[in-house]
Amino acid sequence: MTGPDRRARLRADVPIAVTAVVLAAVPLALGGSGYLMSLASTALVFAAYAIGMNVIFGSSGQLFLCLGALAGVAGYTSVLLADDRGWPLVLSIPTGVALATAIGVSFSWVAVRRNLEVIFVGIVTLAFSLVFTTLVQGLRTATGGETGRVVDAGGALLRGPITSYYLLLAVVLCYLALYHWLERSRTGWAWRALKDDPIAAELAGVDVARARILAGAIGAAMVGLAGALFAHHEAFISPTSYAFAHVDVRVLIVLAFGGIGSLLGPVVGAVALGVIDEVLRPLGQLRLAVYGALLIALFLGLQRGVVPAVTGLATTRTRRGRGLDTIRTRRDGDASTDGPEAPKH
Amino acid sequence: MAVVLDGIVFGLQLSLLAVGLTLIYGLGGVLNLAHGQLVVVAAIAGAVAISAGVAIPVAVVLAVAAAAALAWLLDATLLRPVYRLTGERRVLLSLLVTLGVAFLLDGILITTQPFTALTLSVPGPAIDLLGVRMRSGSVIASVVAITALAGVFAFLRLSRFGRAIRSVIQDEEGAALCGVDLSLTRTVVFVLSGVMAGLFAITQGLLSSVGAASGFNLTILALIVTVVGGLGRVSGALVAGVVLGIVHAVSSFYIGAFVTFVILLGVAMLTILVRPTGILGRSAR
Amino acid sequence: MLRVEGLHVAYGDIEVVHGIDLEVAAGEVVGIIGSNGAGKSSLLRAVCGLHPATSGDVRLAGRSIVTTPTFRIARAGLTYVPAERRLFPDMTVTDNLLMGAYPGRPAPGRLDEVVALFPRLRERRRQSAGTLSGGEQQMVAIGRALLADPRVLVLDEPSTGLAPVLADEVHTALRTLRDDRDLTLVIAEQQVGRALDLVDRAYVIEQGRVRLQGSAAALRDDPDVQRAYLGLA
Repeated sequence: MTGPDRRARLRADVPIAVTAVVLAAVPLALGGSGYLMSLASTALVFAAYAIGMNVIFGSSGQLFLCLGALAGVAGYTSVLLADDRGWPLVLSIPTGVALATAIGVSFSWVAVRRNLEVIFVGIVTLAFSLVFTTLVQGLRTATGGETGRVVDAGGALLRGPITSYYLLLAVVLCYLALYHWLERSRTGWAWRALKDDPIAAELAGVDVARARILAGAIGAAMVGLAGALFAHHEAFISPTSYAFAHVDVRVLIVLAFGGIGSLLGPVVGAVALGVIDEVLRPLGQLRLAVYGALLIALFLGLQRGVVPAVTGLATTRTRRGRGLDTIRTRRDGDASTDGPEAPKH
Repeated sequence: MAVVLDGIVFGLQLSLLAVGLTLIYGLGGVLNLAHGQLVVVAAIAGAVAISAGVAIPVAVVLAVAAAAALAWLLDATLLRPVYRLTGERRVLLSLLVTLGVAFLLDGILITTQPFTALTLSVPGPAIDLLGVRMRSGSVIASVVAITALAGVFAFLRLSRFGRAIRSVIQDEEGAALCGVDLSLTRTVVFVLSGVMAGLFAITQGLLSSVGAASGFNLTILALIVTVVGGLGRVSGALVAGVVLGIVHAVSSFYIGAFVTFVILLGVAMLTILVRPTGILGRSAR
Repeated sequence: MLRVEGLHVAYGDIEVVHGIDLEVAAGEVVGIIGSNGAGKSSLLRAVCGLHPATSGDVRLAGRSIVTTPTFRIARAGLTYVPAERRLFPDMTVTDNLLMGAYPGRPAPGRLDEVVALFPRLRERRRQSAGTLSGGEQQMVAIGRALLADPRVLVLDEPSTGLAPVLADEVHTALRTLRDDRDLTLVIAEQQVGRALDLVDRAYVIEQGRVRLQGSAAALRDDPDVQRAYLGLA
């Protein structure tokens, strides 16, 4: 490994280490309060969702609007297997994650095979979200319907307020390390190439299909694992825990806040959202309005995201984290994107 | 037969809802995820006006005007920066911004008007039509929907401005080169979609009621119809609306509401996978 | 009638037009010739407002239009027919032609004039434009522009990429236009021989700059032009 390369690597490893230290100290401050610890754990779950979304959307440009559903598929599967079939968690959770991964892969595969535009990927996955929620509500006997069901399986590790926090923190740190490693690998290179221009990437020998499907698989697995752990940690799940409005919208806010495609953005965004959430709790339903306003303001105004805008330090590459610039194709035949001497047909 | 007739009425309403959404997408690549909230705003405005003692016809006009005004406001403010982008980035930003608008309006409406709903009961006897009895509310709703849809069609097909709108849908740059003011066509179409959403609120008020929390579901219904008809295709939205309206009525009657919603979503997903240009779709535009 | 002064055009960080000056008098037929990629289309796109110029000025009949939006430029009488034609594929040929006159109605007889110029379009009037051949589409594009009653008509590569028979037909039609109507015409062409046949005067563009200019006859006799563009030694 060459010198500058190693330095670049260090630059990005340091923030992960700092994050680890800072977040590991959180229970020292909040540990006395079970309530605050559960908020902290929830923030970690959202950070994990957001890292998954960063892989799917930030890296490979696939607009999955079914994060909640993917988390829910893994969560409900694991809970049903553990509580109703008596499976141990070490089997039920991986099974749930595998199912979520399979679904993520099939969406990516279909999108690649049918060459779907981003809008169609968004609509298909949004429809899947709603199908999932509707099915969970309808299959009352198994899922408890709209009112949800209590989760028995959990174990001391996942139920203790401090231990579960550290477990989830370990998961988030693993995700960060994995994301960082992926971005620097051949796959990360392929993602950047295909995001710049899928056709040019294909011509340059990038296996666009493989790169996209891999992103769908890894991202869905990340989201699924977080969703399953969340279910067993909370000891209760309902359609709301995984609803589009509850998960996807908030993950989009987290990402926009932290900067799409930035390494630590998801963590910073999730912490910020956790705080905002708690401050706004007295507002009740009016919180929806605040989320809406945040979504508008963040995406219109701070397309770069707060973290890269403020420091520019925490990004894996200097030119990452550029908001919607993550999506860029020349296929639309748009007037101003045509190169010099527009193609003649 | 009565079920099918109900389905056709609902289908015409769905077309009303979807035409605006599909036109806006076709025109500028903006998928307005706050479309259902336009309906809700119209309904609440109408209901508030009625409870304040305003005569019903005036309240109806106010309701439609409220939706149109909101649509105009959206186009004039939040969507301006969106239109400055091009291609997929415009599609994406429009999706996220209008999603934000949807939640913003939902939060405000659900908190401030939780129990307000627009209900317009029409006195008068049921009417016999082709041997089936229809409530007078249904008849009026159908007449409103058919008139509005016919009006939009005539406008697009026969007027010069309508032809300009179609030209923008087919080729933005070509339209600009012909002297078409893109920004003006977008504004007009946005307001038109607001009017259609307002009329949907009125027809729905005639049949049952529209309350503060129904925005997101209405958006999804409109989206399903739009997708099945082909994004950006007005005639597709009309056909898909009626077909899905019948599917909806028959399936709700024989199977149940949950499954019906899943079926509709499934049809939309299948359409995208099998024929993204919609049921009437030829090749991509 | 049309005057371009020191026009620079860039795509992102890459400048492709480096300060071009040109002038077209009323009633003149002017060629802009040069090979593919020389910057002709970029120049013309900037002139008609489809792409912003970085600096410089464009004047139409004395008024600066360099920051005017495309649709206003079109309404002011500068009509551009891009190489990719930009027809409305799902609309009929007639509807496409009528769009040329937008926002007004076509002048009486103008539609018949276009059909007389391109007789091929007569039987295609009700057909949708997307189903036409490339040459027929080019005819519709030129016809659409004529219905705008332009003060300056700018054609980008009108015969490039067409089947030879159709290219000849378009060429003949342009010659008829030149001779019979008092049009101000700007024609960008990479087929230099064909262009010099048609124009009074031409600018030779290379790598975003004007390399040469002069009357058609002078350019045809220029040894550089002969070597580089006319395939003569």
